[in-house]
Amino acid sequence: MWQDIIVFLVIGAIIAGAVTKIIIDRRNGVKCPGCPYCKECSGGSMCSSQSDAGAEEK
Amino acid sequence: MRIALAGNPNSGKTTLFNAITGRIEHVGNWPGVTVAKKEGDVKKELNRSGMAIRAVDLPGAYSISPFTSEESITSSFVRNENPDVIINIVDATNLRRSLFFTAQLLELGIPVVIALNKIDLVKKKGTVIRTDELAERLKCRVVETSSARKEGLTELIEAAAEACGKGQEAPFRGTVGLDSADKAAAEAADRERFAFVDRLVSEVEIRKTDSASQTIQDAADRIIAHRILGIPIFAVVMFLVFQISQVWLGPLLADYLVGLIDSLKGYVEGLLGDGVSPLLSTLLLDGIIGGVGAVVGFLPLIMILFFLLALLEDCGYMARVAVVMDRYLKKVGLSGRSIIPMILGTGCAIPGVMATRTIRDLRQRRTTAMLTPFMPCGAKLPVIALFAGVFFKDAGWVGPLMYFAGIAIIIVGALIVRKIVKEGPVKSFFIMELPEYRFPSIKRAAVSMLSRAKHFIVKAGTIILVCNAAVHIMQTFTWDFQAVGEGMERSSILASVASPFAFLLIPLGFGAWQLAAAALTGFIAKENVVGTLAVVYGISNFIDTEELALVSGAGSVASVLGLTSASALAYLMFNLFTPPCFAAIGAMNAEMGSRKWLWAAIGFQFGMGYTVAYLVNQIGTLITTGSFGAGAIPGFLAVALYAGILAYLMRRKGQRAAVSAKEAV
Repeated sequence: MWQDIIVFLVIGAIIAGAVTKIIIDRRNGVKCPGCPYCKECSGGSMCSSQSDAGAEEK
Repeated sequence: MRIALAGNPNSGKTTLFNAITGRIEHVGNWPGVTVAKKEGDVKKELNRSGMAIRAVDLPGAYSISPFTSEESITSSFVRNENPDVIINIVDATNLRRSLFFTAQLLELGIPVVIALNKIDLVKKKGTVIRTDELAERLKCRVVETSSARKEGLTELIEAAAEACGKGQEAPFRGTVGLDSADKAAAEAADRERFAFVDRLVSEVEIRKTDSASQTIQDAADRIIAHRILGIPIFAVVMFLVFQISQVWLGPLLADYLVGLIDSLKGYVEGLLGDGVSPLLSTLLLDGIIGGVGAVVGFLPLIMILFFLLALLEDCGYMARVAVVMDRYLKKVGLSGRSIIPMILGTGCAIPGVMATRTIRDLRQRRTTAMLTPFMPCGAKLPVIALFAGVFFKDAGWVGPLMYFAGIAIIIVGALIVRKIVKEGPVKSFFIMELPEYRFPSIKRAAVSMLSRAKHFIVKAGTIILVCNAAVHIMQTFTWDFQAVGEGMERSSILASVASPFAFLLIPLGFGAWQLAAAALTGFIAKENVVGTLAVVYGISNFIDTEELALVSGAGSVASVLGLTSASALAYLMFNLFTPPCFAAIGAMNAEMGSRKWLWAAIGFQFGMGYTVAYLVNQIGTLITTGSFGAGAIPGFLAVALYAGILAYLMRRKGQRAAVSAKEAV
């Protein structure tokens, strides 16, 4: 039983670590972890701000 | 103190930025690589002033009056954000062209320090530039630099620190600050400015080379950038790149890495023993270590590929490819500049889509943003490598074939979009300065490769790990959170989510829910396709540790996946040519600036990916077995519906144009 608990905690820690890294990155402006262009890309999410393209259309 | 790095495209701004800040931003030996501003602190060892200096790398611009949106970033920054000093990076090998922008910068009143960059190349050519005289005439400090060799950087930063707060006298007073509406006055001033630069260069520069004679570089360009020969040369180059990265060298290194991952898995398995619940041990071993390991196993192949592509870019070859492709793209209504986003998209679709902002025409920009993701990006390489290795003996040709299939789809797609949105060909001019051929820097290519590897590992350790764990949990449990029993896999959460999609994929030759689930997770990150396949089929090692072959037990892996060669190729193409990952879709949204265009693009990509996969599977099955595959008729109806919608849209536009013309008469 205690072995299961330890393994469960290890798995939980691994996944929590990955999720925490994703959340911290997002707070630092990195919308897509692992993307080399994430900080400069305004399109990391579907609700991104209007770009120059949109401005020009108007 | 804030310094802005401004200059013409391909003058070496980002190389200088990397050298003075220690950052690793993407550089390329061609114009248009940087499309957004980047900031970083100047390294302490270069900064003797004691002040904190922040450098801002700006996109290249030929003029302070912007023509493209990335040029407007530069113009807007130097005009409105009041940098303390502008370091104007001047390409010393092309002084005449560079100094026009310099003359405009000097008129702003902000202190300017000129970095006379690539001075090593100038000296090599035997050209002499009288730097002191140039500084005297321009009324600012001129520092000779070579950002590639990291020469003159301390002096440059020192000069920038000294210039801070001193103001700037203009040697030539032009139109900056005058009424921009007065075009005639602006053009007259531009002509005067050109004349001023012309006089100045003829006074300070002594060229040894007679530019009228044909150099070795010109002779090479007559072959490499030839309108017909250029295409087969490009095909051979890409074939060699894939052959080296995925057949010759890559698997050797991948084998070693997979051996390490297997050892880790074996070690953890030994630690767990038999006392741990099978649910937990399989989640850790197969879901997390196996799933992530299956993706990471392809890392060496990707690293070598990016290393070789960086070498090609650095030596100046990719700029020639842009010239070769230009004429073909223009014929289908795209801008010659469209090739730059597409080549950048081979690394990652996101910078490729972002680079579309260099295109002035809105329709061409949106069409390019829509079509760029058809170029297979780095994230799709593990999928290509896996399928090439498992189903095709000569893995080397599959990669280039996918690239050329992507180009073919782009050309067809551009023709369709042109028909839908605008009649007739559009005149566009593509003027790109061809960088000189040079011996590529191994160091720069290695840095680029390591940077890619780092991002790949971060992605594997975050998004892919979480996805694989989620896939494993969804596969293990039913909706009642009961463990799935032996032979009851179809009752799992994952199977019930993926099955409706799998039903739609039967005409494409891969109706298994596992394959549908892998394709679905690919929209989060394309590497997930490999990771999910590893998890759902329990294959942790796609790369052989025994025989240095690309894929472990190719025959057995193929049989586990239950695909024929035709359906495997169809599955591969479906994953490559349907919409890219969500992040790239977000970039498309930002660059297109129109929800209508975005949804049209997603629909077009889905339809195109489905159609290509359907045709490949059904025609391939007909050739190999003599009859069509399962679901041929429903699939045909779906493809016909898609083609009908496109035909209707093309015709409707034509009718509208005819009605408008009638009304005008």
